[in-house]
Amino acid sequence: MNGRVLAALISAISCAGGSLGVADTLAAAREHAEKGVESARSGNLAQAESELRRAVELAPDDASYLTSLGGILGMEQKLTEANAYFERAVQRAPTDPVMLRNLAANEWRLGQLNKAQAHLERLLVMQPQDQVAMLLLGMVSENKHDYPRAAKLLAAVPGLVEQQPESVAALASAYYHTERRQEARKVLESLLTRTDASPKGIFAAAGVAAEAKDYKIAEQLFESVRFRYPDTAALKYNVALIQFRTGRFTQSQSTLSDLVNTGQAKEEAYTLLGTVEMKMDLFTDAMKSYTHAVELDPNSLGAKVGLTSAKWAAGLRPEAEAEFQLLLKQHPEDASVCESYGTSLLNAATDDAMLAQAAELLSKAVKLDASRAEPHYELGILELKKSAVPPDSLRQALEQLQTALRLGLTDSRIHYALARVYRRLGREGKAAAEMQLYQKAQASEGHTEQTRETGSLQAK
Amino acid sequence: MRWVVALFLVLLVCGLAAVPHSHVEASDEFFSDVTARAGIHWRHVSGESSERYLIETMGGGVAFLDFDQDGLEDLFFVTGGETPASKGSTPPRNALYRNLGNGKFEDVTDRSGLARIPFYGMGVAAADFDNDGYPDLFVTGYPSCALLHNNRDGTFTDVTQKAGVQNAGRWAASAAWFDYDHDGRLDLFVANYAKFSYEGGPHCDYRGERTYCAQVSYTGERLTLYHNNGDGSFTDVTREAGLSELIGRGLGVVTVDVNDDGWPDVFVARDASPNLLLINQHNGRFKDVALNAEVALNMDGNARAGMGVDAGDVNGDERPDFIVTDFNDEQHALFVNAGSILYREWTRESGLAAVTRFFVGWGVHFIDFDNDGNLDLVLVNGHVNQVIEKTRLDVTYREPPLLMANNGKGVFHNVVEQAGSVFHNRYLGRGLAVGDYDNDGGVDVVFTCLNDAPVLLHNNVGRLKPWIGVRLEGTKSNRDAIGAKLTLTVGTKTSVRWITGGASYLSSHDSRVAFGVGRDAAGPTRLEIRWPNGDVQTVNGLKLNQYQRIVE
Repeated sequence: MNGRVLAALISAISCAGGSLGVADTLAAAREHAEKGVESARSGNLAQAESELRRAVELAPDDASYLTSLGGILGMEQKLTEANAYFERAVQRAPTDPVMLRNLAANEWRLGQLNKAQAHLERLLVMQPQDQVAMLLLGMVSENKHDYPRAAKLLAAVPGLVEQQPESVAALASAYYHTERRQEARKVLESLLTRTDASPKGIFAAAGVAAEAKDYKIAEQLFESVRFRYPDTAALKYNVALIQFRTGRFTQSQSTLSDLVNTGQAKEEAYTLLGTVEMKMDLFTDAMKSYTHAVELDPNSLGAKVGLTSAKWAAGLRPEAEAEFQLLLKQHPEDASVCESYGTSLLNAATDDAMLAQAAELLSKAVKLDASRAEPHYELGILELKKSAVPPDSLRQALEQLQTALRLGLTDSRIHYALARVYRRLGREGKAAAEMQLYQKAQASEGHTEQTRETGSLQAK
Repeated sequence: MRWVVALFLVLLVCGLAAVPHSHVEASDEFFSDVTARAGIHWRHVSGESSERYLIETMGGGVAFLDFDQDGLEDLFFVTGGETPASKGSTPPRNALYRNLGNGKFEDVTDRSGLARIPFYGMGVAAADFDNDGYPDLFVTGYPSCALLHNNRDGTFTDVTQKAGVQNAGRWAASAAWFDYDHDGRLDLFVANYAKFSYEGGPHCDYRGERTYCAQVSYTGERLTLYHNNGDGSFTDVTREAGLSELIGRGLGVVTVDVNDDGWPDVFVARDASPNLLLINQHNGRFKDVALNAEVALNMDGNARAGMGVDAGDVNGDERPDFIVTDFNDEQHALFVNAGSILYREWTRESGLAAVTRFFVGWGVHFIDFDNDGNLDLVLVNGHVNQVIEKTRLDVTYREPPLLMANNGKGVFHNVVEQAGSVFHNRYLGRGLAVGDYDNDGGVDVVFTCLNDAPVLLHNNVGRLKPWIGVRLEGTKSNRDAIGAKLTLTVGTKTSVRWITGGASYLSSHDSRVAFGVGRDAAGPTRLEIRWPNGDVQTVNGLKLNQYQRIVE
């Protein structure tokens, strides 16, 4: 936003020029202010700041100098101090839209969303067609998760939105959150042909698409800045994450291997690599990757749990059991340990004792963090795994599975399990509906004869 | 029309004397490896090459059959063959071994005309498709199949073209003979595996080492159902039967009457594709109910790597249950019939989960090896991934076969300690067939190994308990009586067996049934036969410890 702030600053100085008196002090203040603008134009922000501070000292009640100084400070990332000058400017010119807009913009950058919203709303009452205010209020609304309002405001100023990938990302986010995926995709696609757009903004836009699980456009956006985005490690990680989430484990492994070979990989990259290798049944490789992750960040619980799960899967079960027990002691309040241990036991259960232990751990995981969908699902499955499935078990299974669904577990597994429960309960209509959802989810997950990719050795 | 034939013998009882088993040395082990002693020296050839064609991993089938109708079960082995990357100076050959009755077999392959087939061989299904009293052979493979008619003189004639059962262009795995439309003639069900070509296939490696790609790299194939026209020809009725849309990687197949309506149904074990349970609609069509029956997928709704399959009643409820061999970590699945067409997975409760979780299973068959009246299990394992020991510390490339004893309630325990030395060894097991080659009532086992010699196992313990053997001969029904349901009551105990089509993996079995009678031997015996065409026949007074021929 620096360009926009500089433009506003120049505009503010120009406006101030007309209102200056003839006194020498004011003339000197004006001279400093103009020098400040010139310095800013030439990129010398320190000099600009110095000149504008002098101007404010000489004319402390001049709103234009105050807001200009705020603008320079904002460009220097001194946002808190900038805010004080913007506030002083607004106090002196409360109906000036430029002052209000600058203050609101800075508040937004500071994360003071409520204040920014109030000032922008005030501005829009004064100037209902103020496009910059609409853009800013749209951004603020998106940040406040008021997606319908964000979508409405940002869509109303397409010319401004398309200038910045960040605002395109905000509009796309608003669309995704209001179930308007096609429109989100359309605005994001517009970025693919923008060679002048900032790679950082496009990276952010890709992140929005990835978060919305719109992986195709997300990957296209990440790829579009492959040679321009400065943090190649972050870029590769995000691409690998998408490849993993879309079931392309071989590709994900390859991307992560490239990243690892650059020597720039962080703990999260090694942890993801371990997770990918687990999916590919390359358990000893996963052990090595998780071990690297733990070495890079000994406090990463995700890496430690992954390493233990990999050992379990690779056949080092006694060692893994001991490590799970240790993790339980070290992190008694962490649901992820209980969940991983319980799930490992449940998947390998060969007798009722293992099932009971799995049930205990998964129940504890739910107790520690009821918002986790996976243990609810596993508990539902556990009820279905019992030798006899009495009505009580079916009801419990249904309850757990519905909770998992409510908490966001929407993959094919949940629908298949629900179909089974409904069928056993004699609710054939519901069972059939869930089975349809299961088949739809399977298709979207790539579980087709042609595209499914699991198992240890994947085609290239 | 179902009708009940009289209570008395409308049967021709013809005792088949047991072969003296003096040639079998006394042994403490349940099964002894008699391969070399029997004179079986054939080896399977997969054509393994640096190209790593997936077909090289699949193995070959084996059949127990009495090709010369001398009352002794003979053996036929299918080799793999050559690929464009593995052509040698001596092409690999199949093998037909004639049972000499003294514990030895004679290689009669060259005279039989079965040595070579013009395609890469996979499985075999033996049955008397033309009801002439002699078993014929259907050999599966890629990119064709062959129907070999038994000339009743020790030779076979390739009648594939005339019969129209080439299954051209497809990669066929297991096949099953059964009479799906009750016309008295055996039809042919072929479980095809995947779209495959020697050219342009996927390429996989592990850390630079060329490996076989996972099965999911290959698109599944459709099934084939051939209707027997009764004049030596067959018609492909796959589409008419409602099967053409069921695309997937089929490997094992067994036919059995699942819902006891007198019509044969089909279970297809598929590899990383949902299993199929095809219910016969009595009008030439089948309906897949596997999803609703809960035999298609695992608990998470994902398909396992189904290889071999068999059907039998493991818990005495007189309904057919299914065993399906799967990949390591998936556990070989046991599905018990929970009434109607709903199955409950019984893998953990049966004890199979704990024993099979490290293994990749293939050939499998229910077998009452000790004649205690309960159906036990024999199965072979062997991995496909040559680098598995680099990625797992608890899974090996070569794996042991398993013998699991049933307590009568569907709970099995591994009897490896008594089973015999073979069960301590590790193999790349693939095909498996069961049959009583010495007619002593102890059902024997043979299994094939990838790129290796097969293993013939003599059952040392079956003959130690009373048994009742029957060999059915259809007249209105198909001559092999495939599809018949046999209900034997001895004293207070009732046992049900089916003469199934297919079963196991790539293999074919002795069509006779040996009921272990166990401790109830003292009671009166009553055998009810529901023939494939629906007629019911009751036989009383069966003799112990011999096979009896029962004519419809």
